[in-house]
Amino acid sequence: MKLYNARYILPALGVFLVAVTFPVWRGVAARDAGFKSPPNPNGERCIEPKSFMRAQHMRLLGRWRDEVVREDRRVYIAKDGRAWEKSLKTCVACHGHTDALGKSTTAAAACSECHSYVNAKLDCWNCHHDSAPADIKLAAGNATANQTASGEEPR
Amino acid sequence: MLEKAFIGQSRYQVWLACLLIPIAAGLACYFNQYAHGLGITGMSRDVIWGFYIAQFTFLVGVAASAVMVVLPFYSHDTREFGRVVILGEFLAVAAVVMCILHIFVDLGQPTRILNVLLHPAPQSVMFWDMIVLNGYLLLNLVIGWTTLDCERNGSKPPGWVKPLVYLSIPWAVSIHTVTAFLYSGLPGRHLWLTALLAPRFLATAFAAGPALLILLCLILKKTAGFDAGGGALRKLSITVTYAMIVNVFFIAVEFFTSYYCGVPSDRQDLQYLFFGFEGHARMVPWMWASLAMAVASIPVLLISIRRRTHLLLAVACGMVFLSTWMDKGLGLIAGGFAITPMDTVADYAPTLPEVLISVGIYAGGALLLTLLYRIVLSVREESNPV
Amino acid sequence: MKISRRTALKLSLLTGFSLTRKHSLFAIVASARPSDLLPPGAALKAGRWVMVIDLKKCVAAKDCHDACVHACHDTHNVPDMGNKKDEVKWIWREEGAHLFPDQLGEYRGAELAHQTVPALCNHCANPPCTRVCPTGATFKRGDGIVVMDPHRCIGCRFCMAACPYGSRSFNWKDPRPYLKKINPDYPTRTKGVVEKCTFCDERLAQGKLPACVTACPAEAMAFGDLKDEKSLVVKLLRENFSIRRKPELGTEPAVYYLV
Repeated sequence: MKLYNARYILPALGVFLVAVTFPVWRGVAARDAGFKSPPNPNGERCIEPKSFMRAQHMRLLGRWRDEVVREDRRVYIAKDGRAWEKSLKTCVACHGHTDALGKSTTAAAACSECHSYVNAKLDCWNCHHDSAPADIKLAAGNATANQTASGEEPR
Repeated sequence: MLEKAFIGQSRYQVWLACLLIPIAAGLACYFNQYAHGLGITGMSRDVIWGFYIAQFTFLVGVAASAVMVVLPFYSHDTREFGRVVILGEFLAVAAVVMCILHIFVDLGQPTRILNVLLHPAPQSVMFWDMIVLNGYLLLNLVIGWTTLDCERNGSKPPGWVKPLVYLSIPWAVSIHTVTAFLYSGLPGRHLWLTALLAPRFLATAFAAGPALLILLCLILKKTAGFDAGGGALRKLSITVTYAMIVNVFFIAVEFFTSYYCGVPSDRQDLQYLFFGFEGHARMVPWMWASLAMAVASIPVLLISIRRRTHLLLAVACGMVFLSTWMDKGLGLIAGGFAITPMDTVADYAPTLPEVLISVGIYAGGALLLTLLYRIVLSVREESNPV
Repeated sequence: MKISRRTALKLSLLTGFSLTRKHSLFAIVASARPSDLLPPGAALKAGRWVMVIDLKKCVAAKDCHDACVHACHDTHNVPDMGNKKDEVKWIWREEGAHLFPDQLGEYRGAELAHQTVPALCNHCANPPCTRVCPTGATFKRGDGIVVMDPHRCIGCRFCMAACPYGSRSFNWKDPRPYLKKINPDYPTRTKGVVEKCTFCDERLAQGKLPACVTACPAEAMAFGDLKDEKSLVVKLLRENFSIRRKPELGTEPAVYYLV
């Protein structure tokens, strides 16, 4: 099988391959976008470490959603043993809260900093509330121990 | 063969361009609906399905009617249908595409439509409806395209086409039966809670579909000189006639059971449609017009079968199509929801954006059908130059 | 699913604790407002949740101001759309003649025909709505509650067509502009999904009874486990004549009305 016009096609193919792999060899793909974690005026430690949340928060939220709505299993035991209510309220209490200076943020704004960068559209806030009333202070382990009566398993 | 789709005389191009206008209007209205919700339609908490689902129900019947040419041609060697089988199959393709589009525009969360595949629910009739409709689309597309391609090359179709054809015959019946089960499987909607619904659907389908096919053949004769063959049109009109007779018989039978037994829940919906109920009589002229056309079309069809000119046949087929569209579309849907579970009456009328979206879908279907028929005719011209 | 021994011991102790809670719970219900007396957080469990509405008490309470409706709709951010076409309601007051068209008769019981009493999702044992849902967005839980998952709902409204009681509502528009006040403890919904009464499953998980039940000033609504012989609801059903909506359909509703 003969390749016609090879002297035009092969260089053009080369140019194309160089262009399409630009993000990889220029290091753009590997570079940290440099954005900060979602603002947390409450100062509380997140339910899981930052590296875990960065990689897994979407899976975690998806699991929570199905487990609460479809299986009535409402308590999450984190890796460090603290018990949390499986709800966006748990996230919003820190990430969508008024800080000590009275400056307020919404979880939607907090999440959108990263989400708009990666263009992953969020529709959680169409239904869920993205800010907590100013007087709500979230204590660690907001799930009361009794709520584990449903036979909750850790993680 | 796709390259043949856009070649034609200038009036063909004009026709294609004209179809783009209602499509654009429909799209604009749909973007509005997507942004603001289905509240822009005439549907309500009581009448939860309306114009879109009415068109879907009717068009499934048109799609299923392809079996009325496929079955005689392939199983009973009815040679007269030789030239129109492909037209019937491509009509089925366009009809199913319009069905799917009507469902899509009716969804509240269309971006989640893949949930039906991601979370299969075999106990739901709608799950099976999705499967059979898409399967039927694929079947007709593959069969039609392959046979046309072979006709163009002057060769026989490959061996695997025949089993697919034989599969498409019961499949066609199944798509409309499953669609009927969507309605007759609901315990609270008494207009539809009848075992007769699936047979009624099939009867109206086998009247409306071939009637449309006859009209399309007549149009193709006028615009492109396509000759379906007198035998084909005659046989098709016989199908339409008997299907229409059965349909009118079914309507009469429904009236008997409802009115003779007089069970209120059974009778109220028919009463609303044909005589008005508790002062709500909006659908009455609509239903009587449909019934009058249905009954009148039968003698006109019987006469036209014997005539050689096709004007009377065209009129009769138009009456059949319009009558079944009115009865099986809005009549069925509005009638089913009119008497609410709370025994109150809820009226329905579509809004302008709702109708424009549906018209846009019809125009899209017409565009698809035009392109497919253009390909068929080009292939035929190529192999039999005039 | 690994569980440490310590956690397992914790869980079994708490489970045992809550089970003992359940029996005494329903004895308390008979005499007082239960949510005040329960220890916070013990989730309520049942074999089959049912609601028993005493129609005599309900119609006798002349000025309750639809307490059940407002409690439910305020708790769950149910919008007031302002017109009948787009109406969203989880519980509402309906005339007896419309709820029980063939059961009231023209003699004894006829007075109920023109009184309005609560109507809500019946959480049927044999629900037509869950049968027809093409995505499993609505389904029946083990304790009898018919659950609505608004995340999975595609808005096809087949469940609404199937429901023979008209209990379900659809969000024809975005409901948020139509919410006068928002309960931050419960989400809203968005346009394009179906919603209905949930028997307050989120309150049950916190050990509270449904909002309508606790709000009724006449204490006309009882809620409990049909499978528990000692529960108040079983007692009421054994001692009083009750009807359900459209029993001939075989749906086996969980909402009983004492006449």
